[in-house]
Amino acid sequence: MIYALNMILFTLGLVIMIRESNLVKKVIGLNIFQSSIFIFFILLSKLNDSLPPILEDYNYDYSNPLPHVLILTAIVVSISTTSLALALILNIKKQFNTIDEDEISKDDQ
Amino acid sequence: MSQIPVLILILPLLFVPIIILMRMFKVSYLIIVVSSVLNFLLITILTINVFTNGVVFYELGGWPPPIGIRLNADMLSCLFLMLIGFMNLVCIISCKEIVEKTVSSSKVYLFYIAWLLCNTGFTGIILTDDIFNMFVFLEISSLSSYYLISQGNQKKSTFAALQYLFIGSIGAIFVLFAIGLLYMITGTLNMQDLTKQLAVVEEKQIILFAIVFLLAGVGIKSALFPLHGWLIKTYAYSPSIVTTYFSGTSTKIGIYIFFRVFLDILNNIGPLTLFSLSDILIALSSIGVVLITYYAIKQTDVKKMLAYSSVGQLSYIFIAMILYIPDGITASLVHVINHSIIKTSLFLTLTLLFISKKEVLLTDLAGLSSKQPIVTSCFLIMSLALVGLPLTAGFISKWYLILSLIQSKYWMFTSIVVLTSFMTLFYVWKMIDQVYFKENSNGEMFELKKHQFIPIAFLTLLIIYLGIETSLTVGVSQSIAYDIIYGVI
Repeated sequence: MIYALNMILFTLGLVIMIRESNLVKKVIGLNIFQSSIFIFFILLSKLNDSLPPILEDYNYDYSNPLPHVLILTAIVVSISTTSLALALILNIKKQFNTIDEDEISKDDQ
Repeated sequence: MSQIPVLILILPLLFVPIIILMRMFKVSYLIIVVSSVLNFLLITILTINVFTNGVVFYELGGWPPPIGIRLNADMLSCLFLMLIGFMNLVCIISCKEIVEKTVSSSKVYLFYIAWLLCNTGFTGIILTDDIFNMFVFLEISSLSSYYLISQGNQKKSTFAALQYLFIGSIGAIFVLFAIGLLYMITGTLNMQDLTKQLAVVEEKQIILFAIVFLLAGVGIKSALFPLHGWLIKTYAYSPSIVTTYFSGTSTKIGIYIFFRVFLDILNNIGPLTLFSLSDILIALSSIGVVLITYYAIKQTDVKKMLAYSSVGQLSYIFIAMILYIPDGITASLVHVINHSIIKTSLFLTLTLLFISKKEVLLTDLAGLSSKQPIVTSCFLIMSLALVGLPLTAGFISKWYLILSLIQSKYWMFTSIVVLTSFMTLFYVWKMIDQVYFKENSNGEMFELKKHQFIPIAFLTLLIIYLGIETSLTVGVSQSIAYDIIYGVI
């Protein structure tokens, strides 16, 4: 069930990235898209009713900590991608005086 | 000796803060030259070691493989490491004046930092033995390459970089998703462990799902036919020295990931043959080759023409790889090496001839032969190598490609490869025609100094050498190919 919702998020992000012509909205779409994969990884680690993996005693089911660590790395990557994208958009705004993709492409011909 | 794999990765990262602290562009160029030379020396030592003593491992932090990350250098990775190291060295040595002209002097040190990080990302992808680590290195190299592209002196460079960022991020996330799926069914991220675990996995559907996402993700990185759009814009709008560097490295890294994942990790379950994906992919690539070559003939911008040509050649490499017979894999590996050298030398010649020009049109080449006769003959040899004329490097790889297609009895695809080879002659002829038979109308001088001639001459000699003496490239590729098909299991 949660996986299905997650896939909806996945598709939503992708559709936003393809359909929108506003570059900032595209970055937002990218972030939604990335988040859906992050949630997917976190879902992998969760067992039924599992507790956080703090090992004081071994008497309970705990969720797998490795995907959390992986996703921490992936989030850092995602942050740098977003900041680089926004910096590039700032430069584009300076050069073309617009952040609409269609208008920039129109400028081409 | 076993420390070398990690030194190859750590040394460039140590040089990065030094460049940031110095900030002077003369010093930063010196540092990056030292770093590249050291990098190439270490790679050479590692390669000699691997070829005499076998695989070299390095366990990061002393943790054994299933838990820790291991660096792994086998013959396949050494081949690609040599390629990347060599291309990096050639580009770095000849880039000083070009970078000074295209990038503003306050930003030169940032440019070099991005370059170093990009190269480290590439070597990291090749060396690592951990599939998530591979994703991280992929993103390191991608992020720095977006920056490098945005430094182009054309108006649309930033926009091209941003578009590449969007499509590249989608590709990277697809790869990450596939890694998640593989982790879900095996519970491991180490490549060697993954190979063993996947052989006994029951859920073939999930593997197929992961394969499709990996194909899409890595296909974007290596510019396979329907996903090649970014490459044309990137090559056309980025600084020309960056184009030179990427033409030999960036897409080849995508091919390396294909080799590593599909022919190594997924080898035990016969990934592409099992789901009859290979026929679809070969058909798609063949259609791609014809279309792309047609587009290349139509171009008037030389950089765009060569970019389309790159996509076509990458399709050859891909077709040869998924035939999954020893000769096919040999052809694919040899073509990776030869095409890298040929395309890098072509782009390098154009870059050095037109340092301060924004875009190079076909008519700009007119009258080159009367002004620069020696460079023109080098350029002629490179172009003919691109077509695949005998006695040049291009011929060897085309020969093996056609041989392997005939062996697998794909008659239609054989004829397509022969046909597109002839079509290659058309657009190469358009360049040669301008160079030799047209008068220079606008009276422009070609900016080429004596010492810049050395790398061009060296690469030309290398193309001829690899066309005559094939035991080095073909021999190594063949032993890797037999290792992939018969060695594992």
